[in-house]
Formats: sequence, C-alpha cells, structure tokens
Amino acid sequence: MSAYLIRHYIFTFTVLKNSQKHEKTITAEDATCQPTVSVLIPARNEKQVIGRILQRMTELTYPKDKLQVIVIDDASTDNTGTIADRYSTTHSYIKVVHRNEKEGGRGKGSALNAGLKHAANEIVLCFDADYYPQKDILEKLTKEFDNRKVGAVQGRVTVLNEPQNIVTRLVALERIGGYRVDQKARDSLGLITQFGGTVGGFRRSLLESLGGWDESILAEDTDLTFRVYLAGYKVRYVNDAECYEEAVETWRAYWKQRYRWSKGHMQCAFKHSLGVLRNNNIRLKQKIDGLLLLNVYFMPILVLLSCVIGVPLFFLKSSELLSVLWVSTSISLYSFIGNFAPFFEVGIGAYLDGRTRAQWLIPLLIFTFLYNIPICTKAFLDLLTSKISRRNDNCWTKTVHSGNGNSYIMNQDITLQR
Amino acid sequence: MNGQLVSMIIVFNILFVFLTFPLSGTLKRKLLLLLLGNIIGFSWNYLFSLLAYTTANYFGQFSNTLYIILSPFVNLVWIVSFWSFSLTAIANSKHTKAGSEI
Repeated sequence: MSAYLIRHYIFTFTVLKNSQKHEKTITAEDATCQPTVSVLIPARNEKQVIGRILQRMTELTYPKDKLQVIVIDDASTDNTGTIADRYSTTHSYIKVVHRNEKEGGRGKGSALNAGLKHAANEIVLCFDADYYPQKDILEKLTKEFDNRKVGAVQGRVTVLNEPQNIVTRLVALERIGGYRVDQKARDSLGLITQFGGTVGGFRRSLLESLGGWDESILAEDTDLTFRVYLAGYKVRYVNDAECYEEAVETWRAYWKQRYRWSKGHMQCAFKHSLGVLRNNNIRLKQKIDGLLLLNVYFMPILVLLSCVIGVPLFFLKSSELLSVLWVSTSISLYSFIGNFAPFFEVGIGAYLDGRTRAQWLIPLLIFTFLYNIPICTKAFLDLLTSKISRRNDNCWTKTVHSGNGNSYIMNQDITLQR
Repeated sequence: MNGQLVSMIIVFNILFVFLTFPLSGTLKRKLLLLLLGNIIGFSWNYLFSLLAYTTANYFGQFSNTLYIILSPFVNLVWIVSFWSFSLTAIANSKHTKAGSEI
C-alpha cells in the first residue's frame, strides 16, 4: 500500500511539473501522415445511443477514403441493427456485421474479434457505442503511430452526462484522476500506459499477430495492454484526443461495471504477473508499475482485511507478535485512507482542467472508495471459486445506456472548460 | 493524542505546501490558506479529542479504540475538504489575476 501511496504522489507531481510545458495540440490541419483506419463499434442493444455515434462518424474530419467504420451488432434484441443499417446504406464506408444469438452475446472481446475479421486498414480503433468523439480525434490518435515502437494509443475519456446526478459527478471526478493525471503521468514517465478498451486502438498487424482479444478475460483491454508491452511495443496516451462517454447513473450500475473491471483485472493479474517479471522487453520501472497496475484491485481487499484483523488484534495485545501485527495492519489501513494521495490526484486533475466547482465534491470520493471494497472482495471470491471449481462463469454484464447523454450535446462541439 | 495531532498537522503542512504552492496563484493567498488550514486542523482535532475524552468517561476503553481507528477517516474529512476549498480559492485568484492583466 505504501507503494501505491508513493506512486500516486509521483504521478501527481509529474503532471504538475509537466503542466507548465505547453504541448502542441494536433489538429486536422497538422496531420501529415494519415494511415488508413478501421473503427470498430461493438453494440448490443444500444438503440438509445448508436445513432449518435454513427452520426458523429459521418462528421469526422478524417478523409473518408481512408476510413472504414464497422458496427458489430452483437445479437441485439432491439433495433440497434436497423439503425446501423440505415447509416450503412447512405455511407459506403460504414459496414454493419450482424451476429445472431448463437454467435453473439459472449462479451465485448468476442464482438471485437468478429469485427476485426472485416477490418482492412492499417490501424484499428475502438469506440464504445455510447461514446461521442471529437471530430478530429482520429488525426490526434493516429499521429502517434509515426513512431514504429508504438503499438497502441489511448485517448482521453470525459463524462458527457456529468450533471445528471451525484453518481455521474463522482464518476466524472474518477475519470479526471484516472486520465488527466494517472494516464498522463504514466505516459510521461515511460511506464505502462493502459489501453482502456475504447477511444484508442492498435496497429492491425500487431493485433492480429497477438491473436486479437482474449475472449476468456473480462478486462480484455488490460490483457491486450500487457500483451502489447510483452511483445516489445508501447502504448501512447494522447490527452487532447477527447471522447465523451455516458457514465453509469445508478449505484447498482456502478457496482456491475466495477465488478466486471475488478474481476477482469484480477484475471489479468493471474495471467500476466509472472510474464511481466520475466520479460526482457520491459524495463525495471515498467515491471514495477505493471505489477502495481495489475494488482490495484486487490488493494480494497487488503483494506478490508486490515479492518477485520486489526480490530480484534488491538484488544488482544497479548504478545509481541500480535503487537507487531496490530501495528502493521493499522498502518496498512491508515496508508489507504490516511495518505490522501488518490484525492490529491483527482484534485490536481480537476485544477488543471479548470473544474473549480467539481473540486467541492472530492471529499465525497471516500464513499466510492469504500463502495469498491465489497465490489472487489466479491469479485475476488467469485474468481477464486471459479478457479477452484474450474468453472468458467465469465458472465459479461453490459452497462445499459439510457441515452440521457444526448441532451447534453449542444449544436456546437463540446469543449472542456479550461 | 497530542502526538497524533502534531503528526497530522505536520502531514497537512507538507502536503499543502508541496501540492498547492506550485500551482499558479498569489503567494499571499496561499500563505493565508496555509495559516487557515492550520487553525482549522488544530480546532478540528481539539474538538474531536474533547469528544473522545467525554465519551471515554462513559464508554471506557472502547471509545478510545474507536477514536484511534476512526482517526484517519476523521482527519481525511478536514484535510481533503479544506484542500479542495483551497484549490478553488487559488484557481479563482489565478483567474482574477489573469483578468486584471488583460
């Protein structure tokens, strides 16, 4: 836990220090090398939002003769496929892949692999159906592939329906900390930048050589991130390549989403930890950061253990060993809460974004941190149970999108308040 | 408890200086906020320790234990809240200064 404390503060100070350097923002006019791009949009029962992203695809500034948009209608039971078909009939670069009930509904990784088979271009980018990208986002993302060592890119995710309620506001704060500070710092320091599953993508040749997405892992994005680094490539984070998402609006939906992330991340930890340690393509600092990243969802469980073990130990105090254990568990608990580092990370991110009003909600993040304790604990216990019983119960619970984000899209482009 | 108060105030000062002073804003405002934070920190811990002493008289060792366990959470409330407020105050001073320079 002390390692995470140090890591958070290093990230925060790095971003603060680098914020004084003015980075050139890439626009459509600056793009010199424009590779051909295939955009994959997996969609299962997304009738509320699929039209929005497809309309946005038609508004992108990227040359349409270099663009291919592939919608994977993953066995939808609503009219997602019909809406997508309407766009494909009027725009030749938009293609819809329909999967029936037997093929589809097996998770995002499976849908993306189905789409990958139809991808014909050099770069493959992914967007979730509820996303709303900037018009020039493809130029900003593809620019990074000029460097041959770059295997993947990741853009920034911002919450579209932030004013909806307290859940969306707190999720927005988490996103600020996660992207504006965490991802930015990891990219600046040459650590393990994570591909987040959307608003990003890969070289198609690399993706195919890696075998595409692993359909047995719930966090297929984290899995691919590490496979890219293990193969000797790197992931670049592009902070000004912004895309807007529709965040979860209820605590129940938050639970389901974070449960999937936790369990998936833990699966990746079991799969990749040893590989990260042994691999010669990864430098020492990347190995350390990689291990911390892989095991981050175990931390809330350690906090719970600290409480469960520490409280009775305090009352026992019958031997030196127990006193030592009491001290260590209380320090563990304290370092999670008392280090304040995650809050400061979010706060600095909000400050750099000019989000002065959002800063007032930062203390409320303690509730989301505490809420993640039972989420991560259940995910771990379920994973443990499935490993012991050798049962594959990777149930992909997709996030339901209400389309409420549509009301926040104005006639002009959305820009972040700076 | 005095040791805990002193250590918490030291932690607050270190974090506040390193995480707030590098930000754009007037030095005067930052120093004022730092002073205000220390006053709030002392007052908060003083009031909470009074509560702890009072409850210890009625509930004994249990309330002392509860105080020790809850102490990080209690301090988190005032440190993070005050720091969030400070960020807003410093950001506003940055905008005010920029506005006056135009």
